Formats: sequence, structure tokens, C-alpha cells
Amino acid sequence: MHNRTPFLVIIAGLLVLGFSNVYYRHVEVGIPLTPGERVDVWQIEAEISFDGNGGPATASLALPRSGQFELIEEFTASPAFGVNVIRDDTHAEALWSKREVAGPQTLYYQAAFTEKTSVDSGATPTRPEAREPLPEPYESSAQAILKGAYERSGNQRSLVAQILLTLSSEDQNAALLLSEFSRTEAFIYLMDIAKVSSKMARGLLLEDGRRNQRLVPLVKVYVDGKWDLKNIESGELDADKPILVWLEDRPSLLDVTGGENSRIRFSIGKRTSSALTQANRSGVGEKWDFGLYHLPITEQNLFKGILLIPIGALVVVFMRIIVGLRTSGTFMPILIATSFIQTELLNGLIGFISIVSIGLAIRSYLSKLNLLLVARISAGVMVVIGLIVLLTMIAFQLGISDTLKITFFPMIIMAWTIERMSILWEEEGSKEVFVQGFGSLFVAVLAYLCMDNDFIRHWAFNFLGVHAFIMAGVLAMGQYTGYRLSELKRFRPLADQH
Amino acid sequence: MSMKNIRLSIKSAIEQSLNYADPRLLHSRGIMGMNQRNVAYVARYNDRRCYPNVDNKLKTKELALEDGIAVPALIDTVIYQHDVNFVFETLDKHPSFCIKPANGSGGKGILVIVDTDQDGYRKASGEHVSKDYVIRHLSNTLAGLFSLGGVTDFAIIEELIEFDPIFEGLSHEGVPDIRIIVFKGYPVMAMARLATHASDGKANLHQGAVGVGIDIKTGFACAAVQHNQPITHHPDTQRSLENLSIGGWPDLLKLASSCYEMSGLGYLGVDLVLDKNRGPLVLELNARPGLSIQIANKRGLLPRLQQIESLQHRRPRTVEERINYVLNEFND
Repeated sequence: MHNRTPFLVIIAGLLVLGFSNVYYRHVEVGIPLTPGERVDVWQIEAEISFDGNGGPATASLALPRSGQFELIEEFTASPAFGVNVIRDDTHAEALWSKREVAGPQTLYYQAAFTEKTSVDSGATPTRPEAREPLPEPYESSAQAILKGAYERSGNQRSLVAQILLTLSSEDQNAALLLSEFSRTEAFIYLMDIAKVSSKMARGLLLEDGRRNQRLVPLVKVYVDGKWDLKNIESGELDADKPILVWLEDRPSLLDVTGGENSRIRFSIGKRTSSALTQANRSGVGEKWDFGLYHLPITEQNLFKGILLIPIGALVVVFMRIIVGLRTSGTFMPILIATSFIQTELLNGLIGFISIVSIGLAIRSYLSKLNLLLVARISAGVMVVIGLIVLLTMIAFQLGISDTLKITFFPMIIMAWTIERMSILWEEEGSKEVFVQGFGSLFVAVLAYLCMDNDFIRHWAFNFLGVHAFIMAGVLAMGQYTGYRLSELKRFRPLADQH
Repeated sequence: MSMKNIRLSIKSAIEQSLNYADPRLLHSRGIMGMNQRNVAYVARYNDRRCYPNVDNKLKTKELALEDGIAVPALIDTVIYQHDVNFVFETLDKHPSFCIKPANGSGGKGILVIVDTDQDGYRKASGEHVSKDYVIRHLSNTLAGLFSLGGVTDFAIIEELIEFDPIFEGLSHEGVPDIRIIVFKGYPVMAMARLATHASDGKANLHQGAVGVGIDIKTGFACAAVQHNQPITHHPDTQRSLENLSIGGWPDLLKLASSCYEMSGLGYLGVDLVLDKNRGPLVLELNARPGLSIQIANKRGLLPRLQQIESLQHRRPRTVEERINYVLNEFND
């Protein structure tokens, strides 16, 4: 036997290439594995209003930083204001400015977010600094709460839980502390003296169809190596209502200079969108992502067709090498299958069979004219075109032109098919014509069914690595030396003898 | 009934209804499949550069004459379309002839004229055709209708073979030929192909010709099939096929074996005819010989192919040495 190592290495290489591409496209770029996969997109609108003082005014709105949610798109709408969206390592804000501002003003910031599948844990905190003690008697109450919680807990997580429990109980120390401070402030202070990293944050409770929403105060606590989000004011978080953390490490949400009565309201809407669209939208222009969505639409559509051809080729290779079906012309079935995609299956079959059979009848007359081959094939091409024109006109008269789109058939291929089948008829008889004709049609229909499948289309276009799999499959079948299915039948008499 | 019995009976029911053979059984009998032929023999032992030696019949003929291998005599060749009308000057001197495309495949485009009389040209079937028919056939051939890949071709006109009386009553309307598979110069399997009414005078088994397996050591018929079914008599003439034996068998083996050096192809199908006057002639060579020979012989090719593959000779064997090996070393 020949050395098969290089062959196996190529197959393995193709498989690795395919897998890594699919992994990258799915996990890193976020292309969904099925075409119909939907994701929730939260559309959030911040409406800022203030009254201008008549002079220059600027409004600065803090924007959420990348966290559990991913920004897909953002817009600002603000008549005659200059707008600047600034994003760098330390902060993110939208800045509106105008030279002369008088009277009531309204500015809009709109953004769409999706929930991330993988959440980055966030920066590890520095140890909390020592704080000024609170004035008495609050300091003593705080120390008492901490001491009690400490005694009732075994680790950091249960300590935090105990402190929260005490704050929301009827405990006298807690009541005293909360008479002066807000629940969140008290909690943060207790965290600081307990040497647990925590920070204040403000976020938006996401719920579909809500208007006039405000940011709710939140606390992030660093326990067991990750940040936990807690809503201290209302107690536990509702798992069904995701929270978009809008603000952290920064006290003010909105700063307006040169204006007064400023206020901000949020409205929240939810829509579902194709996961594929979102993945591609967020990826545009970012980096080289092995996707075809950066190409102009016409090229994309072209590739949507071209990238189905390997699928058809795989079907043909399988049917010929493993099953052993005879077809007329090796890749004729693929071309027929691609035209079936345009025409729909039933119409395509009717159109194909009628053109080929009428063509065969005309060809049998042409053969009597004693023509040279090239002239006869050319005449065949024209006959096919004539038939297509005729059938289309008839279809139009009958009002079914929309359904009978036979103009998509590859005419040269049809002419050659007719020529080959007619020769086959003369030389081998009608039986062989039907065997090969229906063999070709069967493979074409099978290839069509594979190529027209939404799932396969999705994979062929979005995961180019699939084509490495197909290549590996075709190469592997190219070295298959076993029996074809048809041979099991052909050699049956040899198995029966004893 | 145990689970195993149920499974076996289901399996045999499927095999019966679909008429499929068990692949393991075929494998154990050394039956070669098309994929294995292509990958393990044709692709490995047949050098692409040597294909024209067999695909182009004119070249085959020239090479054969050079090597002293007997072939049917050449009457004329037609290369250009305008020669088509002039060829009849030559043809008038030959009442019987055979037109073949130089690059034809699978017996396509072969026109056999057995006699010329006042009604025109008589084909092997007894049907008469006109001069126009012959002209059209030549034009089609030149245009490449019968050639591999449809490239332009030329026609060769050969003397008709007067076939040996041993095939009398055994071939209907067509020339019987003998196909020998020659592997690395060793003849490994042989069959006679007899045309039938069903095969329309053609010698292709899948078109209904009768295949008679010929014992490679003796030249005696060992089995016969038509349409994959065993038969004992020719379906048209009712002549018994079992008594067929080919005289001078070692000469046929030598002729077939010497085609290996001539063509340079390791896996070769040699088609021979027996001429009444000239003895065995090489009709054509085939670089991709079919697998029906296994059905006609009721045995697989693989055991003998592997036996030849296992030979480790430093010096290339001569034709005589190879024939001796075949006659002495092949077991039944």
C-alpha cells in the first residue's frame, strides 16, 4: 500500500481548520448555530430636558460601560446641538453643546443592547481604604451590627448576607443607622469597615414597555473573586428583570451647565431580533472575522449561491462513489439543482422534463438532417432557448408566469443533456436513457433538497469552515475502495454460488 | 426464537427483497469493486502518459505493427471532412470493412459493413444503409461525437475480420471477441463476449451480450452469463456454450501479454478476435477494463491480482516466463 500518512494529515488538517473556524465564528463573533436563533434586544431611550439660560450650554450624560450588556447601536437626536460621544478606558459619555440656549430643551440618546453570553468578571478591586468613623451613636451601632453579623457567619459571603439581613430586620442598631443614612449608604459603610470591597452603582431595571424610569441605586460587592450586584433598597434582585448597570465609579449621571431644571427619564423597549443580524451588526468593521458580511450585497448574494455548490458536489460524489448511481454528465445534476432553487422543485421538474423531452423529439429530426456535431449542438441550444421562450409565453398567457420561471435553466447544459441522451438512445437503447435520466434527476433533486435547506444555507454561508469539512469528506470518499451499493446488487450472482 | 435468529431472518429478508449481496461475502470471494479498481489498480498502475497508446486506435495499431503484434489490416484513415467523399474510391475495392473512431470508447461509433451490393451497404444485422448514411457516420466521427470528451477525431477503416468457425452459431449479428485482463504483463482472467439479438450485435455485457468465462490455463469455457444470470446455451441459436474451447490458447495469452510492453499500462484489458485466416488479432486495448469479467468467470479478480503484486522480480520477466507462470502457478 502507498503511504497514507500525508493523506491522513491533510484530512486531519482540514478538520482542524474547519473546527477552529466554526468555533471562532460561533464563540468569538457570535454567529448562531441555527439560522432562526433569536436574541432579545433592549432599546433604551434617555430623554434629557432642561431650560436654557440664554447663554452657552453643555449637557454631559454618562453612558454605560461594557459589562454584562453589549452595545449594538446608538443614536443621538438633538436639534441644533453639537454632539460628541466619548469612549475611552476610563469613562464614556455623550456631550451636547450649543452656543446660545434659551427656553426648554429636549435631547435624546438611544441605544440598543443585548445580553452577553460570556461576562467578564471586571477589574479586581483595591482594598477598601480606612474610613472616617461615623459620628456617635451611629458608629457604635454600625460596629454592633458588624460584630453580630461576624459572629453569625463563617465566611465572607455569609457575612455579607448577615449584614444585609440585619439591615432589613427590626434590629434596633439597624433602625438607628437607617434613621440617618439610606440603606445603600449604610451598607457601603458596613462593607468598608468589614474590609469587603464594594461600590455604588446605578442601573436600569429592564422591563418591556416601561416609560419614565429612573436609575435605581445598586451596590456591587466583591465576594469570592467576582462582583455581585445587589439591590439594597428593595432587597433581592428579580431574576426575570435583568439590570443594566448604567453608572459606577462616578457620582453624577447628568451634568448640565448653562441650564436649569434638568431631568432625565428612561424608556425601555424590548424586541427580538435575529441573532445572526446582531452578530454581524456588532462585528462590522471591528476586525477580520472570516465573514462575508463586509462585502457589498451583490457579492454576498453571489457567494450565497456559489457556496452551495460544494454541498451539491458532496451529494454527487456520495451518490456516485458510495451508491453507484449513473448520471448523465458528472456535475450536470448540480447545475440542475441550482436552477431548481430559483424555480422551486415541482415547477423545475415539470419544466426540465418537458424541455428535455420536447428537445429529444426535435433532436431526433435534426439527426436526419446530417449536420456536423458543432452545428447540431448549437441548433440544440437554440431549440432549448426557443422552448423556454415558448413555455414562458404560454405560462404568461395562462397567468402562471410567476410560478414557471424556467428561464433559470442553464441552456448550454440542457442542450448537451439532450444531445447526450439522444446519442445514448441510439446506441444503448431507451432503457439506459431512462436509467441515466432519472439517475441525474434523482441526484439533482437530492442535491436541491440539501442546498435549499435553511440550516445548510446558514452554515455554508456563515461558517466557511464547513467547506473544509466538505473538502475532507470528498477527499476521504476519493480513497474509498469498498463496494458501491449498486455493486452489491450487480455481483449478487457471485455471492450465491457455493 | 432468539434475538439473533430474528435479526438474521430480518437481514436475509432485506437481502432477498432488495437483492443485495453481503459485502463481506463478496470481499471474502475476492470480488473487486469499481472504486477499488479505480484507486488501487487503474490509478496506480496506469501512467496517464500511456493512455493515448490505447485510447487512440491508430496509435495502438502503429505501436502494434512496430512490436510485431498482429492487428486487423488498415484500409484507410479519414482525417479531414473533405476527405469523406474521396474515401469511397478506396472503399469500392473492399466489399466489407469496418469504420471506427480513432478515439472512441466503449464500442461507440463502430460501423461494420459485411458486404456491398446493389442495395447499398449491408450491416451485420442484415439492414442495408445508403452511402449518405456512411458519409454521415464519418462526419459524426470526425466531429468527435464518439470520442472521449467530444474532441475532434478521425476515422480509421479496417478490413473486416472473418471470424473463426469455432464461434459458428455462437454470436448473433456481431463479432465475438475475447477479453483478457493483463496485469503487469500477466494474463489474469479471460472471457469471450458473444453478441446476442438483445445486445443488438454489440459485445457489451450490460447491453445483453453473453459473457463466457474462459479458464486462463486451458482456454476452455468455465461458465456463462447473460443479464447477470447463469446460462448454458446461447439464447438466440440455442448452441451449447459449455463445450466452447479456444484452440491455440497459449498463443492468445502471449499476444495479450506482449501488449503490456507495447502499451506501458500495468492494468490492461486486451480485446482479441480470432480471424479464420490470420489467427488471433489484437482488436483494441482498454486502460479501464470493466468488471463484468468476474461475473462471467464466477470468481473475483483480487486473489490473482494480489498474487501478481506479491511477486518480487528484479529482472523484468519475458512474455514466455510470464505465460509459464500463469500456466503453472495459478490455482483454481
